[in-house]
Amino acid sequence: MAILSVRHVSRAFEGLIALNDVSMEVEPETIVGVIGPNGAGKTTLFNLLTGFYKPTSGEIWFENKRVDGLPLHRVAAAGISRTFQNIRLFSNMTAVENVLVGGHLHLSTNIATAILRLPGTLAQEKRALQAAVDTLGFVGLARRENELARNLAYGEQRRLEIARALAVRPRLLLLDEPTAGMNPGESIDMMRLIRQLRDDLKMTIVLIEHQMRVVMTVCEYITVLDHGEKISEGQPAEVQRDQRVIEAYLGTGALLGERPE
Amino acid sequence: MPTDALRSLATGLDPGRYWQRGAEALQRTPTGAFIVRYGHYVALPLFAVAGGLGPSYFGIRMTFAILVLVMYALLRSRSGLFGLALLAAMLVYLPRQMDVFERGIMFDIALYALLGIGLNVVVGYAGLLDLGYVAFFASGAYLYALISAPEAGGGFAIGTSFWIVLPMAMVLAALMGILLGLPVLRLRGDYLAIVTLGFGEIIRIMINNEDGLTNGPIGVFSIPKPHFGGTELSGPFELYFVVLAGCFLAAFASERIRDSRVGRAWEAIREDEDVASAMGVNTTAYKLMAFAIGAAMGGAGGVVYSAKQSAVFPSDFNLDVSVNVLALVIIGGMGNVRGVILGAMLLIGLPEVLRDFSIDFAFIHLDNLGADYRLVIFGAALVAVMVLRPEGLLPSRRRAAELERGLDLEPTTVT
Repeated sequence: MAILSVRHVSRAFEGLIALNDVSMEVEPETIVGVIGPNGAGKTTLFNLLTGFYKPTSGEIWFENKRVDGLPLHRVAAAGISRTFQNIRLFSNMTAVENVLVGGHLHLSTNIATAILRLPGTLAQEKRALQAAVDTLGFVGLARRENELARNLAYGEQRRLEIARALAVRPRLLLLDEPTAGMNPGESIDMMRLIRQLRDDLKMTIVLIEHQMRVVMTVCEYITVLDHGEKISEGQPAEVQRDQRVIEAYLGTGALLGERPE
Repeated sequence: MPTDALRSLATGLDPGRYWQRGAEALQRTPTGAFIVRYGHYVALPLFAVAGGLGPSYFGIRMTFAILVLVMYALLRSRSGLFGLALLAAMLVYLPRQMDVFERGIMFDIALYALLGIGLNVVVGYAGLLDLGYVAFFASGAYLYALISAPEAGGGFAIGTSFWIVLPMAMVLAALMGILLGLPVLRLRGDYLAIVTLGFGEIIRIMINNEDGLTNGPIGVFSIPKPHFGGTELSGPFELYFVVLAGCFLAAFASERIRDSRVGRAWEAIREDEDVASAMGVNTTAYKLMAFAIGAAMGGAGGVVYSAKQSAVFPSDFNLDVSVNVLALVIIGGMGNVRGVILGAMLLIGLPEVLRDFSIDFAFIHLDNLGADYRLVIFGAALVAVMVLRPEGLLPSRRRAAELERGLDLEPTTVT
């Protein structure tokens, strides 16, 4: 039974069709890659999945609930969380505060309890802080808790985005180019982290990625988009041999192996 | 950029990028760096001493100078309880030494501090630029006037006690805050400022035109004073303590909210509204909450104002109030309650202190310098603060960080 089901979803921007009749199913606890040349509609798909856009037509179902058209915070509450291609941290807040905002849904403080600061509120806040510190440790940001997000190194910012997304405690995690701009060493660390998320936290992961090495090693299933349409899907090895994929990336006759631009 | 818009509003000038460039150039010279870093330590005592030279109003001048210095030195070093206790003791003790005029100024400072603390929730915490804050102040003032004054035009003067109207006014103002918030939810930055500005004007014009309800431009008279344990709180001196108590409660409440999940959600909204929403923050609800809380504090201030003045007129609630409150929030330091209190002391107190400012040194005799040019000096002081400390005198840590980024020439993200 698929945890996420995208059914004939299209999205047009004033005549420009960014996604056209795309369907995909994601099984629980798998790592799925979405690939395609620039402008293929990958990020549009993510924006549709998380409620940033509403589909022009089609439906998105997550855990047997329809989630397309829901406001952003309701999608998060349903159990979907994401990171952003162009890092969008709360840059003037510290690392741990960023993660605490991610944990917003799992706290119950309101104005009255905030002012009264009852023992229960304090205890809850303390637990949330500990959980946030643990999450930072999990993604490899131990002892960077009180650093302002914008002062973190680039790779650390990517990790902090993942930590913040994890704090939402999603069942489905969407990673938009998690290794963009990273050197090979950092990419390998990131791949290890992504596997860990699935293995240790039993999370379902969909990721957009340009580095083929990452996609082919870490993903168990791949969906290929081109010009807003799904042109192929399957196991990495199958997709790699698919003639349409090769054409889309490199023109006819070329081999898929290096990072396309 | 909204920050620039804010700064230009605060100073009445448009500092724009030339001011900023000038400040940057100044900071690059060793002398300039020294002035920027330590100038305020020198400037404030100078103000205090210069103020002390004049012949009259000794009480307010010295009190004011001491208050500002203590407030600044103690709170800036975050010396905690001792500093706060000392400040509280002085705020209670010193007005006893003052005459009626001076006590009136102390009342105004405290009132504006309360309004500033309220507006700080909206502007400083949630980052929603609100130029119509006077509307909530007016609603509180008129609610108390119309309900309690025997001669009120509305015909529903029921003579209710101050202490019952106070929470009613806070609820009314909070509802108005939500009313204002609903249509502006989608607006950001400058557009939000313009619409809220219009809202403030609409309320004032409504009060002016609805003669049957509000007595129109004639105003409402004979507003009764509050009673407390059988004593009438008749003058600015007694009511000063009511506002002071309100300030401390408002400061306490808003700092606690800031340090909770709610405050974090507001900060996240200010940083990046869409992402905050994607992390599960119901941005609609939290923005309305900020409007409501800020408005409630403004409404409470209005009730006390009404009681102190004994009469209210539509012209009391013009745009100046909104701009002054916003300016003191910015000058004091956005997002920091203590900065806001300091801002109220400077913005409301300084023009009064400057009345006696004179220079009598060697062959220079400028006896009426302050009396004639106090607003010029005041304006120059505000501009100086904004140039030297654009983040305000006592900014929140985050606010300081934001402005630091503004001067940062390095790209912050790699794509």
